[in-house]
Amino acid sequence: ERGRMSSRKGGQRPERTSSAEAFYNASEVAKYDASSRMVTTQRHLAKRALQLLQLPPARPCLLLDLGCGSGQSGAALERAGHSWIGVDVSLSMLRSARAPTKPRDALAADIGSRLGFRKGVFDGAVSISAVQWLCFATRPEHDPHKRVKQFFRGLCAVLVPGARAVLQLYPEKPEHMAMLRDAALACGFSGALVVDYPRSEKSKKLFLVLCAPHLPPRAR
Amino acid sequence: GNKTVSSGERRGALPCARAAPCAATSHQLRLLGLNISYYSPRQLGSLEMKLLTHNMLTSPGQRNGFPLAIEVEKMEVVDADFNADFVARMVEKLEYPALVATVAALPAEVESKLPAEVPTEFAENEEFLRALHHVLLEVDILEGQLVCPETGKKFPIKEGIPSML
Repeated sequence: ERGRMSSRKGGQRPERTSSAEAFYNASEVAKYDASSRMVTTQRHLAKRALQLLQLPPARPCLLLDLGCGSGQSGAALERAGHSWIGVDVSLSMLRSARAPTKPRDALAADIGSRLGFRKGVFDGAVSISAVQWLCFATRPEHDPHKRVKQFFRGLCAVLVPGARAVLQLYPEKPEHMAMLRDAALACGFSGALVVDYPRSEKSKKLFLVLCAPHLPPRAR
Repeated sequence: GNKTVSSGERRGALPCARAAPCAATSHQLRLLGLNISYYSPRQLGSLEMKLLTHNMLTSPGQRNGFPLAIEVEKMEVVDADFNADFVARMVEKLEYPALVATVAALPAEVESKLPAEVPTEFAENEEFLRALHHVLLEVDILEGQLVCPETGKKFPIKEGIPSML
């Protein structure tokens, strides 16, 4: 699990010690990909997120993978027959993404600033173990509240009306979860928090399952 | 080393049209009783920007940031499996005139049979869907720049990855 990766930093969360792109430099990426346990965990989380997306069956979709990293979660989307575009702030992670199948692209971008996509193009969005980074000010100019707000505003805009976003995350504290939840609601999302394995602190997994607002009847 | 041998994750994945398994290493693996094909990291290739993706991109925060102009330094035309259902579904997402204009501005190796407008009944029009498939999924931009039509700002594309940072 992500929170345990940085044992050499004395067990501190990676989000507390550096920005996402500094943490995920080439040597971290190599460790990340080489850890088969990490790969398995990410794969399971992506499959679960896909399940929670509840996409109509047998219909290939265009999905957004936020914080796609080296493409572990994207591979699960591809296996389900979808095409995806991934976004990650770490060029090292993106460059290490390699898979023989091709219905996917990725770009280097910061999910806490404006997304460069047209409105209403994605049939769904997933994010695996990434969104909690928004809650930390990893650069002096960062205002987490603003970044979190911008993230949800941007996400809402690029989703097809009524489409879902499933964000698996590791919030450091309840305040962060509340910040994310409040911002999502303020941007017009409805949804729920799904907790898998709720009784185990070690195994517990949180998924913010959000639904973008449908267009008002007049605008359809 | 063994760390880069195809992991369980890649089992069952379709091989890339351009990559063939490394014969020598794959043979050695089979001698060990492992039925896995070995792809060296360089063979698998990196990402590329497809025109489907390009059609979804705008210059972040700009009102008139679409479409971004493409300055091509390196591109490739590849084979990709045709899925009529997927291509038909993408039609409603496309800004079609921008796609036609983008293709027209690309180097001559890109063969485009796209009509000026999306035909009615496009979902049943295999010829149209195949022409669209070729343009959307078989043209890979590997190196170059994306240029904002409003500000002229350039976003580099390196190893197939556009950077909007």
